[in-house]
Amino acid sequence: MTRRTLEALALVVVAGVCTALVLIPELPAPVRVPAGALLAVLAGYALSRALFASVTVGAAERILLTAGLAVAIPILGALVFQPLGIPMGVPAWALLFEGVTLAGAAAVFLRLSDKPRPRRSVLHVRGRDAIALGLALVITAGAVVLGTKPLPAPADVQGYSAVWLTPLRDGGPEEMQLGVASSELERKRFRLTLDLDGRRARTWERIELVPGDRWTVIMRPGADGRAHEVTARLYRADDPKVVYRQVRATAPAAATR
Amino acid sequence: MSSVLGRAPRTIAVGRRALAGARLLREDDGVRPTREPAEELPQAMPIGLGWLPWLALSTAVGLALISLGYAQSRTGADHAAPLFYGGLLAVFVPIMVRLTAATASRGERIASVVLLGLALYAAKVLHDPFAFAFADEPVHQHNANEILRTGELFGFNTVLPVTPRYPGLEVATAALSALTGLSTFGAGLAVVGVARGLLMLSFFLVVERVTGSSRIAGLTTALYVGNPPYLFFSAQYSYESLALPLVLFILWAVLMWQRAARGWAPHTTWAWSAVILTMIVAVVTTHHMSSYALVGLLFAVCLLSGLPWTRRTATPRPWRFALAAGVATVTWLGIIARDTVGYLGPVLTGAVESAIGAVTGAGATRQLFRGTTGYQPPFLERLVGLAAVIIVVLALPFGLRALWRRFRQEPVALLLACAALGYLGTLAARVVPAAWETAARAGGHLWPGVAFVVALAAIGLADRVRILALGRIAVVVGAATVFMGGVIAGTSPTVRLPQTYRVDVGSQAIDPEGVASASWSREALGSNFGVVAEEAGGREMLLLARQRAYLGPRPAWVRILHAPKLEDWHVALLRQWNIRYVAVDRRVIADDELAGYFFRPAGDPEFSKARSPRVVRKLDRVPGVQRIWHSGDVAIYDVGRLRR
Repeated sequence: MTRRTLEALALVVVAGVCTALVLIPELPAPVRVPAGALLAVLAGYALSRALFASVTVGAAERILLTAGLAVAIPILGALVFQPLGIPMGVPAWALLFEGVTLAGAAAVFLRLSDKPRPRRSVLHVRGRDAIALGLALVITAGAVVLGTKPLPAPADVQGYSAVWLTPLRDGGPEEMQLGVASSELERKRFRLTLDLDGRRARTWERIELVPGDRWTVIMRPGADGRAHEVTARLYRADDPKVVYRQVRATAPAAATR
Repeated sequence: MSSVLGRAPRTIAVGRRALAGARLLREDDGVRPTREPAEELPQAMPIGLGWLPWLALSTAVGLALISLGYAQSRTGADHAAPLFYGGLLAVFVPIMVRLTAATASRGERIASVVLLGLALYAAKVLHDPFAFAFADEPVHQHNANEILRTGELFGFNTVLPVTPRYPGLEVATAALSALTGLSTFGAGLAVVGVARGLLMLSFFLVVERVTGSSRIAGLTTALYVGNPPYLFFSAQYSYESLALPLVLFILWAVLMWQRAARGWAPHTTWAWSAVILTMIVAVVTTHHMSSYALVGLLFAVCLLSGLPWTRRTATPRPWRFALAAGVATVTWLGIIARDTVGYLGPVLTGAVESAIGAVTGAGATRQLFRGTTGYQPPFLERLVGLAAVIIVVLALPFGLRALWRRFRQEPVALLLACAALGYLGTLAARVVPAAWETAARAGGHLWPGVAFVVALAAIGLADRVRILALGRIAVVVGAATVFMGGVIAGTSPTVRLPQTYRVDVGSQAIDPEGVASASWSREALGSNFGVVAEEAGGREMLLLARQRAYLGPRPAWVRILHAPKLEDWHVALLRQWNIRYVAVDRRVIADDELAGYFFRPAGDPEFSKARSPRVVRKLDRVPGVQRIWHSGDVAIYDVGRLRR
């Protein structure tokens, strides 16, 4: 098999496999991420090979052409998709990159010379070089792990809790949701009071939340057929006299028949 | 140093002075015609990696120090700043040492500058590893999300309405996100990472083509990172971060096209033309200012090619590409991006008016090294910042002299010289308040010229003063000073080191109030409501809740938020713009588009400053307005009844 046939075939097969993989829904990330990235790179590479089949391009120049064209392909593709009304979803992008790669592979097959290529320099990696590179990789990985890990808060940073009172989304017109969410730095206990038109209607004495927890209740304050001014106040158990959070809303009257 | 890092293998060693600024334009650099007889080509020979593995190791150590410094900053521990600066120097200095040497191979130089660019980009990524938190980043991420959500271009963006009209960056991000399943945050980081690599490689190859020297190209590219916005601002997820590398790519492709057309490989001119035109379209659809810069750049190359001493009969001028770029830019501006004029107009007009005022004495001037909040950096930072500018200013005459003597026949070299001279002009403009930002941005665009001219001066120094390698040492120290000065000048001291964003609380991690309130609003209220908010909160409302967020001084949102009382005209404005919610943030820092996203450390006066209760609670006193969310600093009010 000649060099150009081999290269064109490799482009077609690898791009085909990548396209098939990215079109599979719910594919695990460790497979999908490299497949999708490789598909984009292949399109840039194939296009650069197609354009410069008659010259030998150095490694740096080839990388530059591949990366630049891989970035430009979707931008130009979008300018075609938009006026044609083609939705820019996974199938469109996958077929665009696959199409460019196939066209590039065809050009490689038709235009690439079968003459032997000039012999390139061979990279010689010494043992100590490999050790240094390996160490560099390990240290970089450590730096990334440390850099992307959430860390404990500084001593002078405090957490917070939120309280909300809103008409229930997708609920009945008179239904309201009252909620508390804790983003405190430790487990906290709260007391929550609810007033209707200035008079205490309900108290929740002990709401205990760990960081990230939520507490919600659905209410119908207007069930008696009247609109009410609703006020909710949140107190921290460790500071029970001070209002920690407060919300206020008007509850609409329930429709009467 | 050389005993530790090893010597370059003999197979790649060249004469020490062979590349010392001499004009060695080799036609076999990079791209060769395959029609050349194989027997005339050099035989395969083993090439070692030179210092590269050790440079990778020192870079990794530098990154680890930076990451450790960031961790210290996020947890409020000491020594964050020394670790950060030490890490940056550990990345920069060894690479600079190698690049000043005459013995490094071309491949080693290319790999070194790309390594430098990617390592410094990693420093930016590790600065904000959980979410985009630089000024324009949430705005562009929202645009990418909209393309993914709707499958169409030109979605809504109330914070920076012009950005969806330049969708190049977001399209590339959306495509990668769709193919890989990565979030737009992950895909966006990858796209800008590729752009960083493109930037370093393109600039290297441009300078190499102009000078014929990979040594000059390596030093120039390494000095480019001393550009003040380089470390953070130019690495943010923003359209300019992709467009600028593409402009340099086009410049390289034009040089290759000229070379092909000179007779080296005339059958490839159509291929280079195709590449250039493709990239012109990509730039024009990605960023307004970069497309104007590209048009100016190409016309300048054409004009400079016509000078008596640059004119070569065999070298075609790239008029066709300049015209194509001009036509594409005007067409895009006229049909798709008409809002751009209204967006850029006030910024540029303000800068010009302020500059005229400062010159005539009618306007105020700005005190150097003093922020708008009155913050003054420590003495050492001011010293390094000033030293960096002095080094550049002192080096420019020597570099310009070397340029004139060796490269004045090269139009691109002359263009870089003009840019270097223009940079001096921007230094003067930095004392003008309204022109400061424009001057700083223009300085960033002119920096390639500064890097080139200073590199020529540096090579002259390194090769003239050879006793105990004092010349090289001076060059490395000077370059490190310029780099650190750039880092200091180009980043806000408030966020130069990362603030606390995501906090580990055992089995959970919690995010700041702005994130919580925006996420809640999407879940509980739905999307596409008019929301008035502070700079930071508005961006989060746009990105995380897909609300029509309104912020800033135009028309007067910030005045409504910061007034002690809700006036009648406020109500009229809220009605006119169909505003449903107002998000009030007690923190003064929330008005800062760079620093407003984080937890509030009580011990930091900058972050803990609060607005008066009268301002913060004014909406509690307005009948019909309901406070529906309260998390301490942030309160969301439903002002829907004011619309009736």
